[in-house]
Amino acid sequence: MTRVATYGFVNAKLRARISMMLPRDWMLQMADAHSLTEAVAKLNGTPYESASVTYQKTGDLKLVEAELLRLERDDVLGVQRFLAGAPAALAEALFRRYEIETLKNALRVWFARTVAGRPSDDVVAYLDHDTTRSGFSVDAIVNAPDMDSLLLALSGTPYGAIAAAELPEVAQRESLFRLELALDRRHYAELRVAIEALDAQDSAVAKRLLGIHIDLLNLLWVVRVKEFYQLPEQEVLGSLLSGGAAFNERVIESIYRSDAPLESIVGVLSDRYTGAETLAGESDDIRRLALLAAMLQEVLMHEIHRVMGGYPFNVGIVVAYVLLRQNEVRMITTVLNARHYGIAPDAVGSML
Amino acid sequence: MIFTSPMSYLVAVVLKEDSDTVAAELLAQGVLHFVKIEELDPSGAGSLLPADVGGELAVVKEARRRINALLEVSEIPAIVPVPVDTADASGLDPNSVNNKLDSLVREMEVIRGRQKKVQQDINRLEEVARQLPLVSSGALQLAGSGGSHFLAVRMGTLSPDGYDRLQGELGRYPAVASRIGMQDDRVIVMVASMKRHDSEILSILQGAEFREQEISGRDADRIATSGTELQDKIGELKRQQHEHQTHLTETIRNQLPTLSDQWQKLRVRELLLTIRSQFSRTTHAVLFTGWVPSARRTALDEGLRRKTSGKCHIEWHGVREMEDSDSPGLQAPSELRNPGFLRPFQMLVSNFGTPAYGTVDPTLLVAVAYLLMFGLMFGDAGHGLILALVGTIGVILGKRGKLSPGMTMLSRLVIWCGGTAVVTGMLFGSYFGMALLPPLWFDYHGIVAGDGGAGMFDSIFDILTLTIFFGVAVIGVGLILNWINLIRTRRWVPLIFDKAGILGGIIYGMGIWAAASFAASGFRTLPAGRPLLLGIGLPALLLFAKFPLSHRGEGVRIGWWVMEWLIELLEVFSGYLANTLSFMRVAGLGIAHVTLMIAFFQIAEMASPNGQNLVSIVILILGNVLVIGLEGLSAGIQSLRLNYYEFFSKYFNPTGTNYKPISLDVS
Repeated sequence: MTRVATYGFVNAKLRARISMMLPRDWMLQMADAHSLTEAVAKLNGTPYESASVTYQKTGDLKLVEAELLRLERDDVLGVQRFLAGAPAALAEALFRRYEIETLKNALRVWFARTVAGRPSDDVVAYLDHDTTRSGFSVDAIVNAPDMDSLLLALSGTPYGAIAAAELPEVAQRESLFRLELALDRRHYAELRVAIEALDAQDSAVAKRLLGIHIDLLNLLWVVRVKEFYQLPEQEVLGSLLSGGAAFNERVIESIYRSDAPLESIVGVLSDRYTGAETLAGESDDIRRLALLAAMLQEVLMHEIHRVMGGYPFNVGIVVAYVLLRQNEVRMITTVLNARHYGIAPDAVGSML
Repeated sequence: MIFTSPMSYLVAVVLKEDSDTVAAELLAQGVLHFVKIEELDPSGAGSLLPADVGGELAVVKEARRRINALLEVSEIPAIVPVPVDTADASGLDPNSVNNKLDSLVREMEVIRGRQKKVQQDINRLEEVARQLPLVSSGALQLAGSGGSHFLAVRMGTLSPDGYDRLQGELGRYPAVASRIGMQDDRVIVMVASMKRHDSEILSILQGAEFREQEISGRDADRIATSGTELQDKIGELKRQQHEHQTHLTETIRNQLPTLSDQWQKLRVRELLLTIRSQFSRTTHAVLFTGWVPSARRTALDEGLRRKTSGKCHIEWHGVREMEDSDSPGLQAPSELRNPGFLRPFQMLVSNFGTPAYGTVDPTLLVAVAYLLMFGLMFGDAGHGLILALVGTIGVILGKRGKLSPGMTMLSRLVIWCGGTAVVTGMLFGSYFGMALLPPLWFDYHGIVAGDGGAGMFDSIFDILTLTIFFGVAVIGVGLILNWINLIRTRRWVPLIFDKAGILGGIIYGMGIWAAASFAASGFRTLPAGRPLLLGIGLPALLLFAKFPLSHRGEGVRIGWWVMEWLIELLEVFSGYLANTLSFMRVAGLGIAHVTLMIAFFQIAEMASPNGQNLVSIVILILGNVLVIGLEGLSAGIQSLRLNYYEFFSKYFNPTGTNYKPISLDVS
C-alpha cells in the first residue's frame, strides 16, 4: 500500500476531528464559570455532553471524570478502525495505556485494603471495568484477599510476570511504586516495539512525538521527587522511562543534581518557551510544579503542531491525535476540579 | 429583491446627555450597521475617546449566559426573545441579577450534594450487586464475616420481627438482606454488605438476634438468585436520585418567570450597551457613523432629531461619495431583502458568500434554478410528497423549539424540493416508481426502461440534450447577470474582456451555435468558416487587449501578456465546455433515480414470481425509502453544486459585507 492509501483517509478524518477539538480559550471560559454546575453545563453541545448529563443525573464529579475518560478511551480505540498492519499495532499499543491505568488504579485499591489497612472501596465504582483487553478482572484484583490471589487474578495476562517479580517488594517496602513503574515501563516498551515495526519515516515521527511525551513524564517525575520526596539518587535515575527525545539520562542526571532543577529545565527549553519568568517568579512549590507541567505540555503541543504542519501521510497524525485528545480531556478535568475546589480562574489558566 | 438594497452613510453627532435616548432610538429602529470612527478616519479618531461600557457589557453578557446555562442544565427550553421597553431594561441592575443567580446556584449545589450522596449509595449497592454473581459462581472465595474481600456475605436465621427490624436498620448502609426461606419459625436470611461497614452491620445483626450459619456451596446458588431485594433497593435509590433531579429542575422552573423577565431585559440592555460601545465621544458630545438602507434613512433622521429635540448634527452621504473618500476600506454592506418564502434559498446564497454591494441578489434566480435542477433529477410525485411531509414535520418541530433554526430552514427547503418533485413527477408520470397516471410531458421511466417515449423525447439522448440546453440557459443567464453587475459597478474592462464578459459570451454563444449545427448535420460538418472566424476567432484575438488595458502603467511585457492570454483562452474554451457538459449530471441523476426504482421492482418481482406477497411489498417499501434518502440527498447536493460552480462562477462576486444592524429583531 502507498503512504497515501494507508494514511489518506485517517489523516483527513483525524484532522477534521482535531479541528473540532475544544480550544484553550474555551477552557478558560469554562474556568470563568461561577460554579461547577455552570462549568459542567458548558459541555452541552460538545462531544462530551454525556459527561454533563452524568453530572445532572448524579451530582458526582468523579463519575463525570470517569465518563470523560470513557469517551477518550472509546475515541482512541476508534482510531484503530482506520488503520491496518504496523500503524494499527501502534494505535493498539497507545490504547493499552488505558488498561495499564485501570490496572494501576485497581492495584491501589487492593493495596490500600490489604497492605495499608485503609480501605478505599468507594473508588471501585469509578474504575473502568471495560478496558481489560488482556483478560484480567478488575473485580478479581480489588477483591483479592492476599498476594497469591492477586497473582492468580493476573496470571495468564501480560502483567502476571511483572506482578510476580515486584509484589514481594511491594509488601516489603509497603509501596506500590516499583510495581507501577514496572507497568509503565512495560507500556512504553510495548510502544517502542510497535514503533520499531513501522517503516523508517513513520518510526522517526512517532519516536519524536512519544520521546517528548516521555521527556515530559521524566522531568516532572524528577522535579517532583527532588522537591517533595528526596529519594536516593540511584533510585530516581533508575526509575526513568527510556526513549526520551531531548533529555537523555545525563541531562536529567545533571538536572536532578542541580540545586534548582526547574530553572535548569527552563534553561534547556527557553528557546521554545516564553513563560520562564512566570516560573521564576513563583515561590510556591506546588504552583511551580504546575507551571512546569504546563510549560512542558506546551512544548509537546508545539511539537505536535510542527508534525501536523509537515508531510501529512505518516503515522504522526495518529500519535498527534491521541496526544491531543488526551490533552483535551486532561484540560477539561483540570478545569472542573479547579471549579470544584474554588480555584481562581486566573490560576486555572496556568495549569492548562 | 433583484439587487442589494441601496445604502446611505450616516455621520451623527449628539450631545452626551442624549446618548442613552439616542441609543434607545437606534435600537428601536434597528437599521444602523455601525462603522467605527477608526475605520472612517484612523488618524482623526485619536482625538476621540472610546465609549466606556466594556465592563458593564461584560457583566450583562455574563448574567444572560448564566441564565442560559441554568436553563440548559434543567432541560428547560431556551427563552425566546420578545419585545421589551428599552426604559424597563435600563432600570435593571445586572450585578443584582448575578447575585440572585449566585444564590440560586447555591441552592442547586445543596441538591447536588444530596444527589452525590445518593449516587454514592447506588455505587456501593451496585458494587454489591456485581459481586453477588461472582460469589455464587465461585470466582471468588466465599467469605463469611471473617472474609477479607470487599463483600461480606452472611447466612443465618432470625425471628420475623428481627427480620423487619433488620430491614429498617440496614437502610442506612450499603447492604442488603434477602429472605431465602423459612426454617421452623425463623426466617433464613442472606446479608450482603461492604466490608468497610462490617462493625456496624455486625452490631445490627446482633441486635436482631441473628444466628449465623456456615455458607455451603449449595447456598451460593441461592445467593445468586436472591438479589431481588438488592435490585429493589437500587431502584429505590435511583427513584430518589430522579426526585432530586426533578427537584433541581423545579427549583429553576419556579424561578422561570423572574429569570425570563430578567433575561429579556438583559438582552435589551446588552443591545443598548453594544450600540453605545460603537460610539466615540468627546467631553460633551457623542459621535457615531454607519450604513442605513436608503429607504429607511428618512425615518431614522426624523427619529434622531425628535429624540434630541433637534440638538444634533446629522450628515448623509451616498455610496459613491464614500467610495471616492479617503477611506478606501469603507465598503457599503449588502442587504438581501427577500420575501419570507425565499429565505431557504437566501440561506443557500449566504452559505456561498455575500454579494458585493450594488450587484445582483441571486436569491430568486437560485430558487428557480435550484428547484428546476432538483425536479429534473428527482421527478417522482410520490417521493416528492414524502419529502414535503418530512420537511413539514421538520418545520413543526422547529416551531416547537425541537430543531435548530438552521435545520428548520433546511426543512423549509425540503418542502420546496418535495413540492417541485411532485410537479415534475406528474410531468413524467411517476408515482413511487409506478405509472399510476399518464405523464403530462414525457414518460421518463418508459424512456429509461426502453419501452416508452414519444414525440420530442424517445431516448436517453433526448434527456441528455434537454439537460445540456438547460445548462446553456443557466450559463447564459449567469453571463447576462455578470454584465449587469459590471455595468452597475462601472467596471468596463472586465465587462468587455473578462472571460465571463461580452467577448467571452460571444465565444460561448458561437460555440453553442457551432456545436448545435454540427449535431444537426449528424456530426458530419461544421458551420462555414467565416461566421466561426468572426464569432470565435476575432473575439479570441480581442481578448488579448485585456492585458495591456488592465496592466496600464506597469510597463510593456508582451511575452507575459501572451502567456496570460493563451491561458485565458484555454480557460475560456475548456471552462465553458466543462461547465455546459456538467449539466449532464442532471440527466444522470434523473436516470439513476429511475433505474434504482426499476431495479427494486425487479427484485420485488423475483421475490414473488406469483404475484405480490409480503416480501415484495417490504422490498418495495425499503427500496422507496432508500431512493428517497439517497437520491434526495444526491439531487440536493448536485443542484447546489451546479448553482455554486456553474452558475455563481459566472457572475457572483462574494466579496460583500453582510448588512448587520443592531436591532431587536430576532430573525
